[in-house]
Amino acid sequence: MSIGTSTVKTPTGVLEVRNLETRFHSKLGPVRVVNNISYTIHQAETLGIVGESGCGKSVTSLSLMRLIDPPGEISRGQIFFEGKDLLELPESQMEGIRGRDMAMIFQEPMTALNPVLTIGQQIDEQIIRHKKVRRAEAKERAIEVLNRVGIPSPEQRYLSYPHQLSGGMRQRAMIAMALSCHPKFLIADEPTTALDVTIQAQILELIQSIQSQMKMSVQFISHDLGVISSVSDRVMVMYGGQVCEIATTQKLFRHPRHPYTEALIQARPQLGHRVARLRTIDGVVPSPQELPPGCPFQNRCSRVKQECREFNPPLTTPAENHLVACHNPVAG
Amino acid sequence: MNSPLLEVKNLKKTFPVRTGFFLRQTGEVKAVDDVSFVIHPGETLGLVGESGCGKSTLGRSIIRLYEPDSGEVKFQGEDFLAHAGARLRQARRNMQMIFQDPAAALNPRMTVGQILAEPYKVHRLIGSGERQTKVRQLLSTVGLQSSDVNRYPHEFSGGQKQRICIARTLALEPRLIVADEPVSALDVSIQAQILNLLKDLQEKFRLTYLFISHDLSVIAHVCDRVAVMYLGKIVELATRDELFANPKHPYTKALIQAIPRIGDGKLVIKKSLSGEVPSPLAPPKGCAFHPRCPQKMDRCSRDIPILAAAPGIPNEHQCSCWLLDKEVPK
Repeated sequence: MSIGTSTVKTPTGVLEVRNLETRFHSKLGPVRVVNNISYTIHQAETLGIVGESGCGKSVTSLSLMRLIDPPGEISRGQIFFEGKDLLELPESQMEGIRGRDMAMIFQEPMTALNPVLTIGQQIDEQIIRHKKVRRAEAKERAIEVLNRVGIPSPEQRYLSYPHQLSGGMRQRAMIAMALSCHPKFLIADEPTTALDVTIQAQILELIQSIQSQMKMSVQFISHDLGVISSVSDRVMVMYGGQVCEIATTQKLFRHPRHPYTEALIQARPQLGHRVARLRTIDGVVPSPQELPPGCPFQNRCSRVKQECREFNPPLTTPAENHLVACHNPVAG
Repeated sequence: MNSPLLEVKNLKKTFPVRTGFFLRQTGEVKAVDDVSFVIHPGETLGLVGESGCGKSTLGRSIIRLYEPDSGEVKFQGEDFLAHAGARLRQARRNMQMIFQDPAAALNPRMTVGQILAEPYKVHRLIGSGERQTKVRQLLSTVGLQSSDVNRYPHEFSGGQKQRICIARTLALEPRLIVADEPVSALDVSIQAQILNLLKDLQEKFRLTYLFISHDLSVIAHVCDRVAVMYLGKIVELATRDELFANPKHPYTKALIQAIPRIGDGKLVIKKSLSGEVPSPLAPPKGCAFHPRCPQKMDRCSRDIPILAAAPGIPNEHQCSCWLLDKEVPK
């Protein structure tokens, strides 16, 4: 079965992405950064997206929020959110969804927060816009949500500017902002990459507990396999703007089928699993302009065949709940 | 037992804090506070801790990129802090540094050939003809092409830039390399290449590394012994196997527990520590870790524990925690 040419009419899950393609126009012509990807996220589920820099994971997220500005454009595909195709909506309706039903947390809270507004003003703005309440009530709600994300003395922090908070507290403030309107779907784009491990554990715990209370669906992006493994129900591996593999977390890490997934897992030093030498993947991550025809991973792959140089492999289903795009997959 | 290559004793480095219009000194940050350890020839000592704990300052103070305030640094038995002028420059040939961000560590207006010839020029070692041969050798040692000499740093990927930095440190055939987060800015697949390269070079040239990282998984992979830092002090120091199998300090335990592992699927995540690293401007009294410590006692907020080999623990395992006193009845 090929998902790429799926003919299923009714969208399933909270979010369903079908054949999404996002391009950026450059002097050298259009560059496909996200190339024909399809996936589904169910209610209260966390889908982890993992890949190296430049694989298209952040552009995928920005496409879902319709935050791609020229010279970029979403050139093909459908994004069903609660049954509606977001790409068909007028911008005014999209503004009503963004921030209310779908929210996003970014990697670097210092650049995502406005430095000249207090934390309180930034949260209020969102609540007033989406919930149409008075300023006093918005303030009450903002303080409540700051309290909920574990910020001590929220009344004072409500009046603080972003630079007055530590990195961990800023990330909590950004989570508070994302959660202020009780979204059904949260995109977390490397939310802990800039943080220390002990603070990372606190933030991951927070996202997880809020998710289970609110039955929220989460798309969690990270380059860290350990983080992805501990937070995700299912994992999607991306390379060169395409999906390599999607499976439940346990299956993906125990029995990876795509050579890239396998190599990525073995390239990472793991505690309690000592090896003399780490597995390496030759070469470098190719930039989207220089992707070869056929499979994007062919030049770095240890299992490459003639076929891989000619045809881009479609996603196939070697086992239940497991999708792989490879002509010569690793034995399961 | 052979004599240590590097001996650091009671090293301190503080930075003044200046505020106000006249920039008067209003306080100080004890970035490195009374740190002592040794590194033996050919070994890798890991230095791990969260941001702001002073691990980079320690690395830089040892090779005198910062001048330490007090303490001793002995290199091959000689007092390195006493050197000046030509003696200092000569001594520095033995110690080199690899930085976290290779893009910032390479001059964008110099070709790779010029960058790699620079150490020979500065130390007036060999003539320009021989330099070119050396530069080509260095490139092949770190897995780059000799045709790369005329290219500029921006033409290389992050991993290749880090290879160029490593080649530059090797130029003077140093004994000790201080590697400050050498793989943190790189992708996972590239990290593995660089970590393997550092291991190969260590065997080939019998190098000694002080390896600074915040990533315990990387530290566990490359290091023979590990020192854990918290707010300017070493709180635990042990051989790798001992530290990971038998951590003694509550902070080390929490750090190890907080590492997300590749496991059997989604977990219920438990935070290992509440609170954050306190500001080094106003470190807590007593043990600096006590406000976050799950096992704190009355004594911890009063007395500063010292790093010592606790009784009952194998040699080479030092820890600074009052809990260890309780283990042996007095």
